Amino acid sequence: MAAIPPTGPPAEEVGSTVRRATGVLGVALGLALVLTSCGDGKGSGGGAGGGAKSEVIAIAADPLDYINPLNENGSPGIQVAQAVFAPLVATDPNTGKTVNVMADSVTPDKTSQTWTIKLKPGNTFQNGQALTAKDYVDSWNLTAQGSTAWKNNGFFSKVEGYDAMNPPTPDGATPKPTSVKTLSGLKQLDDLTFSVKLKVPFSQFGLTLQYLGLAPLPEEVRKNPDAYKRKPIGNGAFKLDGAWNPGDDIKLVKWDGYKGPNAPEADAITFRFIPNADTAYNEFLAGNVDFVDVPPTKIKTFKTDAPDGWVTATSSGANYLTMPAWDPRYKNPKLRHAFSMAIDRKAFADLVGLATPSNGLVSPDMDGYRPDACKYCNFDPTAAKQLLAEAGGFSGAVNINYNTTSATGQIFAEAIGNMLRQNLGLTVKYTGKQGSEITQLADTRKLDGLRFSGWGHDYPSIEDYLTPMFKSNGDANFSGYNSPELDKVLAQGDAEPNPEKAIKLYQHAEDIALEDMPLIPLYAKQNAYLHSAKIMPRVSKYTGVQALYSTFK
Amino acid sequence: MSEAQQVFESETQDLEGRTLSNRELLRALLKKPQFVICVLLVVAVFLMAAFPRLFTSVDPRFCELGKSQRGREPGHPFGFDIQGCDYFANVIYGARPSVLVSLVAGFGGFAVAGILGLLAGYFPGAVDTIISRVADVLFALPGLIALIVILNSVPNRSIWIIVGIILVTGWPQGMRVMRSTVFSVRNREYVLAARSIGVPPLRILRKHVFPNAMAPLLAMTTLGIGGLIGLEAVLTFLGVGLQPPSISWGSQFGVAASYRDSPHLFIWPAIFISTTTISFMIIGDSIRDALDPKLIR
Repeated sequence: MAAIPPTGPPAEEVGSTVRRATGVLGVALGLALVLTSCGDGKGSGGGAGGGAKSEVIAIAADPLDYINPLNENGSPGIQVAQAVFAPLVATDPNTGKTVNVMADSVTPDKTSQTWTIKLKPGNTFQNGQALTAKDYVDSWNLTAQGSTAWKNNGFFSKVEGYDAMNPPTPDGATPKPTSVKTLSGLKQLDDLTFSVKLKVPFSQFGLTLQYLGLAPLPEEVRKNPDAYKRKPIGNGAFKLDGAWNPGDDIKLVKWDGYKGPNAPEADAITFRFIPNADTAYNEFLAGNVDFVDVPPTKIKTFKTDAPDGWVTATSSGANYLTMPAWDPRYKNPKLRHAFSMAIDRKAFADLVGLATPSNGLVSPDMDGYRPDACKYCNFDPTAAKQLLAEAGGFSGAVNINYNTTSATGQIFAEAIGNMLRQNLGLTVKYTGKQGSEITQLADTRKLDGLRFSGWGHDYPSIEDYLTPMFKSNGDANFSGYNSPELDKVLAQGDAEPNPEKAIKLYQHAEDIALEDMPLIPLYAKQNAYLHSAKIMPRVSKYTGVQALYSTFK
Repeated sequence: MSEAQQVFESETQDLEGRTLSNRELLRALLKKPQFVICVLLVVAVFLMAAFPRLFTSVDPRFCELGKSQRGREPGHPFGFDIQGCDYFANVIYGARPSVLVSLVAGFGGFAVAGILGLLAGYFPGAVDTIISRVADVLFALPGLIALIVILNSVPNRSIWIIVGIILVTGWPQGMRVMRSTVFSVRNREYVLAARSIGVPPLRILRKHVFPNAMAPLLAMTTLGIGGLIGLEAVLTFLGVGLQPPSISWGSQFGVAASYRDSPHLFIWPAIFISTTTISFMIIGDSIRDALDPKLIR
């Protein structure tokens, strides 16, 4: 296992749609975080089997079909990968600083465009093969090749030479193999050192290396990845215990060969996949698993359901009301500010439960978060009405889309709708749809009206909120927002090697986004988890709640 | 259900002996105190549905989120719902969709099942075959699941769409009852007499067959209205019924289910739904008893 897995609670499944970026590194990292927090748990009564220090972690998701971190950006898969593979660097749960795991050093050049990564000597894969720079370079080249069709391909789009390996293909067509098989920006310098040259300077690149989706594969797996998709050979603290077939629990035992820092205390870990979150929760109450996420429907009752066994993590995520940039009726920033100021965030956060009202676009536990960032987030119906009048009012009904698969979707939508209706005198209607349908409509810019969205960072930087959601081609630009000025400021931040100066630039970008307000900040949510009496999950302000790193009683 | 059907069918046979006039029926019913009480309760619910302002002057859509889930206080006897709206007003206004669905679907079903049953029973052969086989097909669909699947495919569900779909899937039961009653009536002397002097079939059906064959279906319909109120609540609870911002008992149930810590959200609509449903069932029971020849003497 990685000594310090990336942290962070997952994006919330809020009333409507929460989406992580897909493809690009942002997404991947986010997922890693999510997995971490969700995955760990072992049942007190459960069949972890074997050693004294064993735990059963419930994952509320469909069973995995394979284990391959490079082809995995969903939280369940990353969570499992986190046990079997180790990342280059990780976030220290005590200090929030980035610490080395497989890497010995990560060094940028003066412009943050070329990064040199040196590995610690002596690490091996679980098949005995020594871990070298070549394993990273070749694994990354394999993933960056569009025709491999692995999910973390997008991570490498920042690396020089990516475009040559990923020529544009028509939508839906399978990418064809290219004659170029390697990223020109990726160079092996010696056995333990390699360098990455990016297309443009990116000061946060070092942080992104904690993503589990960049784990190396050994040579025998690289030769025939399909043959190993159900018997992974990792470099982490755990290995598969016997054979594993999709649909079964994933049983892992400690691998003695792991020499990285901060090995988890557990001797054996079982991941049990339970597709329905409420069922998983009930399995915990029945004593069959040791760790489970509290689903949104149980937020008000989990403390009485498991009075001695719950933990909460400070939020690593934020939730928004998303404006449709493609509908001219919602264009005027004054109208958006009016909507924002008509919302009583305090009461809404109380309704959500375990949430704090947002006053900015980034998660409150981020370096660079400013509690007073938003000038238009105070609840002031009178000022809101006046702003709406200045914006020329609103014609027609405001439609609020909510996710029907979430038990609370409709309730949250009605709460927002009531405030807009009563405080601004607007007509409000509601449309319930499947979350995936809402996302698809929004992606094709056909969605009518507002919807909920959420975002959790993939690596601990406020840049990972601003770039995905507000950059004109961001992976998670839910609102279709486009501001050349903001793009320019973000690029300046990316090129700024001094972390403090970079944060100032990113904060400036946040201010621009708040003036235009494509997303209205709503709340930041804490995640809650239940754990059995025999374990205590690791809880950190920086890395969230991680069952993988539980201590045992 | 099949048991109920057998009861109806046996009644139909007995009916050949004697039929109650409508006035006799009413007199027999009014003698039963439980019938009178239930009629009064049902009338109260109808008033709520038609004129909610008689019961409350509070606007059910005026909500203050800060009062979410609060208990009772002066002027707000049922407390507040999740959104901080007055719950008493919401429960009163929630009667309308329930009553509309149950009455329209109930009596619409009575009309559809009655007409089809008349035709199937009076014209054996092709007409009967077509109607009965269609009914068999609909019988083969698992009821609630069919409703969920169909309603899920309708994007903007209004109350009328829900009623329509209940009607389309629900008529075969009543049609069978009607058809078997018509079988027993169609060969009675007055029908044969009318036919022999050349009265057109539609007039025979209207004047002679229908009035003498409708009673069991009527009893069944009244019994079933209670169930329809429940069905509206079930569909809305499952998320395939009415959509917000409609106020209905079913949606109040659906919300209350997620908030176990505020039992008042559940209890009040539950009391109203149960009372209305049970009242309709007792009324239906009373009508059926009054029509049962074995109990008449």
